[in-house]
Amino acid sequence: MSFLFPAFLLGAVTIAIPVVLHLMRRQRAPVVPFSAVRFVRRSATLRTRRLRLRELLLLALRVTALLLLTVAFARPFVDDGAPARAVTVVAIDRSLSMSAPGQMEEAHRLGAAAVDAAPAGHRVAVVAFDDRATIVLDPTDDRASAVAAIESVTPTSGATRYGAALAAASGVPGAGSGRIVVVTDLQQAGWPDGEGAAAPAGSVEVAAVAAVPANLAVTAAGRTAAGLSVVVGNAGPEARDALVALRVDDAVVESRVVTLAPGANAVRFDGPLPGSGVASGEVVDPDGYAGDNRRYLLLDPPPPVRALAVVNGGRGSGGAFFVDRALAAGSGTARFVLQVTAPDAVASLDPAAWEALAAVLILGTDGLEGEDRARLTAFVAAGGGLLVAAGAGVEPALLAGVLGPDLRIAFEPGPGTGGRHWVPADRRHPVLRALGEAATTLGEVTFRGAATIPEGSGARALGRFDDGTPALVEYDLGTGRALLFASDLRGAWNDFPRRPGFAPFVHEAVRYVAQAPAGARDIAVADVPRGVPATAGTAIVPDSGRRVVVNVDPRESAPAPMTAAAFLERVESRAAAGGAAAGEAGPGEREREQAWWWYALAAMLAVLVGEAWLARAVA
Amino acid sequence: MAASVRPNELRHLDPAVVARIESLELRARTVVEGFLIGLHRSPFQGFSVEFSEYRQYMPGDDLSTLDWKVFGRSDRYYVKRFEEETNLDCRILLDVSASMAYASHAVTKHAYAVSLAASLAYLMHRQRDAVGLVAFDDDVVSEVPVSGRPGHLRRLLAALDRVETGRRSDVARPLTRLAEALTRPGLVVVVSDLLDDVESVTRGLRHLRSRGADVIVLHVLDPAELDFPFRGITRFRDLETGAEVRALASRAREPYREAMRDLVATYERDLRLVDVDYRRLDTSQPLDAALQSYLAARARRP
Repeated sequence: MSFLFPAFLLGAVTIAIPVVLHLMRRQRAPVVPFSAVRFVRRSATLRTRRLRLRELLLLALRVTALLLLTVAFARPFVDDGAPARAVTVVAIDRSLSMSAPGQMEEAHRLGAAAVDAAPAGHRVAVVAFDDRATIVLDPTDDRASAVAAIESVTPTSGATRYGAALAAASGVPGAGSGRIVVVTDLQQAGWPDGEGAAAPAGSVEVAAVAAVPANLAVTAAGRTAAGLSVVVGNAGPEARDALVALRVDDAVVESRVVTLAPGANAVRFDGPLPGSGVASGEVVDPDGYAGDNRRYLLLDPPPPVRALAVVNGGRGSGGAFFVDRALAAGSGTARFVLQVTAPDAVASLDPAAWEALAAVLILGTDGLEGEDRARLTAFVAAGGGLLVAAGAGVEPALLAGVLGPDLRIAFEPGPGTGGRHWVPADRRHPVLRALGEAATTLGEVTFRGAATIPEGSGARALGRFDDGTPALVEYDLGTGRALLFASDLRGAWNDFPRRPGFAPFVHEAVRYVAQAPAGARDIAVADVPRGVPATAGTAIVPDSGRRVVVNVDPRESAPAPMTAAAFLERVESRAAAGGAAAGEAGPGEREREQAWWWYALAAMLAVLVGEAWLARAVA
Repeated sequence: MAASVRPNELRHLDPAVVARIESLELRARTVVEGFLIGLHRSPFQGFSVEFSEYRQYMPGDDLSTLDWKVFGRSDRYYVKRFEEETNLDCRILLDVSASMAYASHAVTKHAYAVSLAASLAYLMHRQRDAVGLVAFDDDVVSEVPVSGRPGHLRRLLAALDRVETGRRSDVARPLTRLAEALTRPGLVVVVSDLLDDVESVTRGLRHLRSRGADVIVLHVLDPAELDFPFRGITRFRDLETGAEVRALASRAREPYREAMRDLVATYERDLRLVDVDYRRLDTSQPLDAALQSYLAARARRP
């Protein structure tokens, strides 16, 4: 027997612990010189012997439990020295492109041929893949069942991803010493930029299914002021005439024959669209695959995000003017409804109004009383969002209880102290990531005055000024979210409102603290949440009850193939870096196959149950 | 008739107090005088002595010994003095086996038994009885022959002072030996913990009794030997054999107590059948009970 991690066997020294405890406990029994010992002997010797026997058994059980735990951690396996049996893994492409007429049948035939051609002594396993890979059949000697498993693979709406396929195939025990046969139409799109596969060089073969020569697909659909615009892709080498249609809730509203040049073609349908429902652009393509012929667009307006801006002087003061304008420019993924109030009127909002609010923007604090702060604290604690612009009208002490007890903000003098700029510190943060290109314009904003926000526990800087001090800080307040911006949002201390990044920033910041769902109305097949079928169309998300549209990955609409040599080059180039990690039938594989550590753990649990029972009896 | 002793007088009989007196003679005298003071103040009249003479009343004398007739005749206070009627051969058999060394408090059974033997010897000597001593474990260790001569008491007390605990006990053997050597029946007082075979002990005493001797058995036990107050897992090492028994005291307690109760009950029953005066003594109790036993036995003698 060998061990995968023999160092864990050193843990066996812990066995000494119960032994020493046992011996120490025995030594603690005091010696009492006594005169009438014969009566003790008569009365208690038998019981004591039984007790000692039980104690010894208890000790043995504890030692055994520790030993089993140590062995389980050391991962035992039997290494008989014989090479692990090699496996031929047949990886069948089941992506959308394989749904073209005759493609899957050809793949089944090639897969069956690969099974037949597997060397004698090889076991056979079957993997099916699109953008995910599944082991359809574990290694077996039963080649008939392997062929049956291959024939059970059907096309899906997923895109091709060879990396996932080869990772799964090389993880099959025995694949390292065998071979991997990839049955595919060799779509170039199956290798996203920079992706490769960690499969051992030389073990991968390709059984190519001829790619479809032409395919038409609707690759994008968007609402315009006049109606709907769709992009129809022609993957063939020649221009084709095709019927393109606009459907609303499955009913054809408009259709026309369009000449589609090779590549992308924009087709506009100028006609009023209803305020809700599902629109879709469709192209009729008898030659290519059908799954990408239609693209869906949800016409339902997104639910508005209701926010409250607290401004010194209320709405009439104009303190929330720029924020109001920025949020009013919202379209597409989120709509905002902004209510403006003075700080001293915060507490007067009725509970129903608070219930409807998703975010509060603190732009001023003059007259904010303790009761108002308590209401804000409760609002954030209940999951509400808070965006604070620490400008001149905001008194940090009044917000200390809301944003945490350690909030100590120092204000620098106002305008006229020279300029600073800010840059995002964490571009992966949802607020800044969603800004996209607009994030680069943030550096153009000049700040003449700003608050100095100390960095402490529970606070995380998302953006910094060029002198390193935090410009945008997120506070961890449990279920609620809070952002503190180190300057104002009304242009008093900076020129931010006049910069192009202002409106997107306000949008994303408010949407983030309000925890409003973003971009979840149009889902790719690969990203469907649980309970939603992975096919193009409309669906209701079970958890939230909201309606979404599911569309196929437009990459999959390009059937252009690569050569088998180019394919293998991607594999081999990765294999050189991946080294022996790829599926070698080594000790790890043997151990994984045998999985004795599970038995050791199960035995340890059984021993512990026995130990608990016996300990109770002894006690 | 039982003597009633006032609590403030018990200090003379308290084994712990007595054990602190180094001189065995002084110890014996303290015990006996304390005991007798108690007796003077009680209605107990157990002396087997007869009237000897009158003596003028001294303050402190018991008023019950005043002869009112003489007072009526002479208008003077006289008290009656008594004199022993007969000499009695008294033998004290003292168990000095290793088990007698046990103590759960300040006084070992051996120290208690030695004080007891000394006090008895002192009282016997005061009663003009002849006293002898046999100390034994599994054989006779030390022997002082019976004698009533002046100075004998000191010799006996010196011998008592020298005895130490020895080996295993075998009560029957010295009893048999004594019974065979007994030429003049008298009083035999056995002071022992009797942690021995009940049958053989009873047989030895019966043998002694059959030779006409009055026998008093003073069964000396430590309170812990009766109560078994130990706790937890304990290794009990036998004082005589050195053998160890490991036991959970709480579980061993009740069976032990039952065995000890059986032992005491068996001795009580079997010794009563052979007309032996049996008295169980606890080393935490005063010594007077043993002295009373002697006096009661003395009173029964013709």
